[in-house]
Amino acid sequence: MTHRTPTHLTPTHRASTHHASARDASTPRTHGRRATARRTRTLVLALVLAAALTAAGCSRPTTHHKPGTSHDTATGPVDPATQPPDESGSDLHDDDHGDGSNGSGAQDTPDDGLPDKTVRITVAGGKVTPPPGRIELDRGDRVALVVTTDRADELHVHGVDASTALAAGRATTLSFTVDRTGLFEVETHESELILTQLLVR
Amino acid sequence: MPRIRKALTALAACVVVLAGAAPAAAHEERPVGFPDGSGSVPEYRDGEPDLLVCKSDRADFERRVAGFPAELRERNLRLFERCQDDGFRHVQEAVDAVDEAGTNIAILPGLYQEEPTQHEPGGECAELKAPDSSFGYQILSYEQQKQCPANQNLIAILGKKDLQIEGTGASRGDVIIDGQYTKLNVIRADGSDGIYFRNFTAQRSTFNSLYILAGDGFVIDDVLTRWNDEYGFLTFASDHGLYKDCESYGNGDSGIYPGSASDVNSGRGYDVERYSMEITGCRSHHNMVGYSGTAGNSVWAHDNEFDHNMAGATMDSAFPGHPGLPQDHAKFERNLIHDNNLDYYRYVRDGTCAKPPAERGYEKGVVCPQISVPVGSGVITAGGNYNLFEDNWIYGQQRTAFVLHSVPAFIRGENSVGKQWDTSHHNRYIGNHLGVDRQGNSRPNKTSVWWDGQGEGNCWSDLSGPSNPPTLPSCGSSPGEVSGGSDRIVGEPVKLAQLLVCAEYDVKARKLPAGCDWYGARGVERVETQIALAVAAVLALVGGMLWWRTLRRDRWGTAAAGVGLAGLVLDVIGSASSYAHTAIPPVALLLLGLWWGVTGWRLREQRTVFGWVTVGLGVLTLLDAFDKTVVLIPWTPLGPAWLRTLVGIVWVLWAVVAAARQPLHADAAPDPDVDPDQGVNPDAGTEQPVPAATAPATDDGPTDPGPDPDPDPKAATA
Repeated sequence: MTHRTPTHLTPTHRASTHHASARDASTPRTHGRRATARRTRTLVLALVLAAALTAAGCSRPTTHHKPGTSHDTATGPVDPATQPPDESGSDLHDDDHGDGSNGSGAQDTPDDGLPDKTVRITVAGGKVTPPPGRIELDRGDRVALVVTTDRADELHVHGVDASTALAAGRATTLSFTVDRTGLFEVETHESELILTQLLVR
Repeated sequence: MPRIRKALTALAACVVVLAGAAPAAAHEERPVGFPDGSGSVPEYRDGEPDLLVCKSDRADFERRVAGFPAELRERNLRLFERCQDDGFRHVQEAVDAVDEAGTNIAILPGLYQEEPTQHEPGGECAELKAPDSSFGYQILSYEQQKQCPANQNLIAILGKKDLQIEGTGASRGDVIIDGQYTKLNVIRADGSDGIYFRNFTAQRSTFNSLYILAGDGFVIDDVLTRWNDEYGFLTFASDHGLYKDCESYGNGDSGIYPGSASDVNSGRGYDVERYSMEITGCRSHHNMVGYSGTAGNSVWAHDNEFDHNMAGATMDSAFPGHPGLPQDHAKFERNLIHDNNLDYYRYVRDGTCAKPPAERGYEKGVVCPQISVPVGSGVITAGGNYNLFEDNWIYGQQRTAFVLHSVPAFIRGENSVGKQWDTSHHNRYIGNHLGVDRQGNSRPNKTSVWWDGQGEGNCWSDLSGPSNPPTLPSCGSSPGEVSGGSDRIVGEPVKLAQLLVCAEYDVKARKLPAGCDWYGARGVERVETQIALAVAAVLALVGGMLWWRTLRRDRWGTAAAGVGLAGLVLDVIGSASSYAHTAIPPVALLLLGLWWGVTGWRLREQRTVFGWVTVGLGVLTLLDAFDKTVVLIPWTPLGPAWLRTLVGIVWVLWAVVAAARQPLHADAAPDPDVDPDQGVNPDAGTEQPVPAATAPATDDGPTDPGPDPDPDPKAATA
């Protein structure tokens, strides 16, 4: 058979007739092979693309031992840190008295679940430290009351009607949300002390 | 086809190489084995302490004890007087003075910074010959620890038997032992059987606050640990251990880590002889994970709270160098696991964790996650067997309550073939309370279970909420009874791909794998969706070409192609995390199965073998849909998704060939472009041989086009 340059490669090629011209210029057998090769090449490219896309999840291999963060020890002084832990957010020590409301869990920042206001009060020998005052809050605020007493008692927040047992010598946290406005007293039932007042607007 | 082969080889190599990449070693230590188990959990000893530790500032001390209940205040003041005469000013000094078993050390309220042992070692201790761990510190032998106890430990307790160390304050916050990030460990108890720790705080190390190693018998009672690079409590290669009423937070790995707990039930099935570790009444929060149990074997964790971490609790067989792997026989009962959705990866991203530990701000709530974790998970088992999860409350989880997947043994450095599939099997999840708290308030989880589908004898009952996969084996009333179970050696391919991508996390390199939604990838960024898009693109291209070349005039074939296209669209949508656990993925599989099935059926006259293979692929796809929605197909070592994937790859290549080939002239429908009388129509898009029926329809290779329609007049005479 004669060989002719397929006309689709010449400058005068017109797209609409390229099939026909090429076909006319050669036998069906060679034309068939070339067409097959062309299509195969296209498909291979498509597959390589697909493989590349799939392999987008692959990255360079890492070594077997990856170091964690640096464990450099401090050489200079560091600030003191002796604050007690915040017990809000915990549901572990809920009992029948405490309402243990925990707030939401639906955030993903590290401030998740923390109360809007934490109040720490110590009762020792009948004395309340800090002296009873008034704490201003907005309606809907979450409050954590952390109370340490020297004798067993019962803590009660009027208005929201939250209460919990207090164990001697330990800090107990009562968490609740102030969902009504008003002035509410926080008191201990056994020793009949008023610890503080909550003013909710 | 060399290019295809190259592309596939590259892809296969990539997968093999990725599979060999192991996650970070959790910590590195001299090789230790388990104790012989002859010890016992020590009892608390009341009464007058033998040795006292206190400071000498009287005014400070009186202020500290002023708020105590009267009797306790009196006791402390008395002990303080005695301590001024014959006590010690630093805890390590008191420990060094212990010369007999059964000694009680009492630490009076105060802040203990252990100035004598605080500083960098000098002299011989600065030049010890020992291998370096990948974290930069040396791995010392026991003798080297004895020789230079202050190299890595603020307080080192080495080889002391039945020692008790107790704070005498009203609460554990009254005695604070502060490492100030000067040492790897605040307190190390090494080879010290029967140790009892009570009522104090240990904080701020570059590794662990309280580290118990190779101890047979220990108690951690009312102790707080916080603000460490890695662990609050690390108890390693130990037995007869009890944690009670403890608390830990602000740690970059886990608050509580009973790693390589003594493997006393290894080789047993569901029956448990005893537990080597008991953890109860502890709260672990605001860490990377609350509890981590690499080889956390035979641990009974009950009535604890793991909350407000990135994930609640994990147990795994994913790190080398831990005796007792694979992890087995943990029992989690009546724990509160909730609201573990915190994203601490932001501190890696913004460079906070690249600072030295003392400057990162751990005390203000910064946590630097040491390893990769699916944020929002309740309890994760990454390679574990015979674990029991019963009667726990799991709520407020934004990803899932339970994660279960396997980890092949080579990840932990064990290469023998028989071990590769030794996890995750026989894990039982029954009677848990999902999506509600103890008061009965509704606190739903996004999904209940994420399982890769691998393993034998795993079962779940009493679930609430959708799961991924939607269909799970369920537990019978007694251990070992599983209905609808399977025994697959490999998990689902897309889930494995995701796990491999996510394991690429490297905190030091600040590398947060972009395709993984553990680190915040959403939508198209996620590798699951990228895979679905790539597959859909390939199938649409190849399938479309096949349809155009062979079936575009066939009514059924065209309908099938339309259904297939809809299936591909749904497949991509179903890869999103909002839909992965819904009915969308199985419906997509159903549509794709119908597409292949009908297409193959219509093709089987033209291309017999290929047509049947296509039908087979359709059947496998329908089986996969069935497997995910109705019941797991038992016995098969590979799930239908794998078979479908492998056959699908073959099918794609074959379809390319089938579509590219010359069509046979025994077509299903006559080609209107061919006029049998006139030969080839120059404007036809296809080629037809002229004259009509010359070659029979076969499937082997290009057909003979017949005699040349335009013979060279010279040829006949040549």
